[in-house]
Amino acid sequence: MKLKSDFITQVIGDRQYMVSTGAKSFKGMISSNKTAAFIVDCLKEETTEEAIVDKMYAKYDASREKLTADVKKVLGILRSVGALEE
Amino acid sequence: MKIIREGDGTLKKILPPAGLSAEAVYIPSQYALPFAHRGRNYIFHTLTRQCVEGQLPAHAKAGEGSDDLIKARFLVPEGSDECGLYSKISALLRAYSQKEGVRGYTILPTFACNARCVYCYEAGTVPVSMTPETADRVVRFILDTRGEGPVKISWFGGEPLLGVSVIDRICRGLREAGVEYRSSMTSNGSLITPEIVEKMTADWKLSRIQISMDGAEADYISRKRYCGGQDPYRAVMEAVSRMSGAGIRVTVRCNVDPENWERIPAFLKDLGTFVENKEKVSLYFAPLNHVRRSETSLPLWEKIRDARRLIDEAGFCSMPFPTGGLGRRTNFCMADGGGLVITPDGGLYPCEQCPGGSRFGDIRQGVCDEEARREFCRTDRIREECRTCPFLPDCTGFSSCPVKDAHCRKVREMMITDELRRLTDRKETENTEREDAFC
Repeated sequence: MKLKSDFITQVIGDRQYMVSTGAKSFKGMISSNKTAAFIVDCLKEETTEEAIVDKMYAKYDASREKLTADVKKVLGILRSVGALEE
Repeated sequence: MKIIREGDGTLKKILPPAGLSAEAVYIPSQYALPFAHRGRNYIFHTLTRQCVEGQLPAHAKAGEGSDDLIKARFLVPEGSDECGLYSKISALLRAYSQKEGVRGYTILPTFACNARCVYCYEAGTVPVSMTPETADRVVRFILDTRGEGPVKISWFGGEPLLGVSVIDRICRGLREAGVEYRSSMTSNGSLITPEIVEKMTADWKLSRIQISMDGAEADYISRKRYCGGQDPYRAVMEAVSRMSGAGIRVTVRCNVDPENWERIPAFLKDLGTFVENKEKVSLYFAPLNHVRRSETSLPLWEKIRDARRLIDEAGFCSMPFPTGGLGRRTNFCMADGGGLVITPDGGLYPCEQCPGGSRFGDIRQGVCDEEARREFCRTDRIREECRTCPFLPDCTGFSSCPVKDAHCRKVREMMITDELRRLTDRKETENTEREDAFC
């Protein structure tokens, strides 16, 4: 899975913002904290849910269960706005 | 901190109040524009568009009485990359406002013109007109490339009203295809008859028109140089009146330079004589391009600023400069706003001035040179001299723009602070009225 190329991100201050340059169904702006931004950045290359959790586990001091839940939540939001190529 | 004007709502979401740092030394932001009016001091933030009453210290630290100014980003930590911040926000907002498909078409039905304006940048252009076959192709091109919503067309030229049959044909083609459209036009106004006004409203769905004039009658004749020595000065003014009476929003652009300025009051008097519904007609003075590029243009800009009061007194609507006034703008022209220009031969350009080498395709083959288009419209390459400019958020800022002002900073400062002074006067009047209501 991968972030669609017409979704662009921009880090301003301590937040990452994401907008679509082409999607008809999504006209909003997604604001992410640092953890969600990390997941979005992982998706700029072809990856899997498991690989993202592995990267999170290596970076953050949290349980695998908690990180898996975080990744699922962010992926769910991205899917709902049509931002993922799967 | 007394707020005179709230900041932009979208930017408030992207730029929440800045955090306070005990270590940082704060200095005035690049985008903080201080100005004084009627004995009071104000600051306008050209990026967030907030205006407050107050004064900026040269240096400040958190907790020393300037926290509100720090939170509102009028004061920023020393060494902040403010141009970088603007670029990121600008890129994000441009992407946010971007829609699929072409946002608007500027169509030149002809390069021919019945005037020979002494300042015309199209002088020497071969006066070709669009053929019926090309007009039909334009309709197909629009159907293939349009974005969501009604098709927006801007008729430009040459003099577009020398191409009435082309305009008719394209509008008819869109109607027959069941496509909703609306249009605007830039014209010298000399060919507008009651029948044309009828077409404008009924067939062309024309909602706005800009009429270009050149000051009082003698200046108008000597600068427009109509073919056959015609003088349509009064006819144009009557047309302005007729169009505004028909519900079309008319803007009169009066081109000025130091030579025709003295007779501007006579021009305003004439326009006031011929035009009814003055309050529905907007008017602005624009220096000719060669004057804008000239080092000696500043006194004329000062006169233009002061002349807004003359326009108001004459009963017309004066227009702020930069257009849009104090509000935030994401796009500044067709080149950075997703529109395109179609020339009489079907060529595609990013800008109505059709700069040489910027043609990126034609309506038959579509966009052939996407790279050339992207290169011309790139907004991420800010001119070096503009990187520290407080008015970056009021300008295209991109390096390919053919419009250049010799005194762009001073002119913008002059015009924006004039608009801000008007704002503070309005606020003062509102407050007085409110106080009176409670007496």
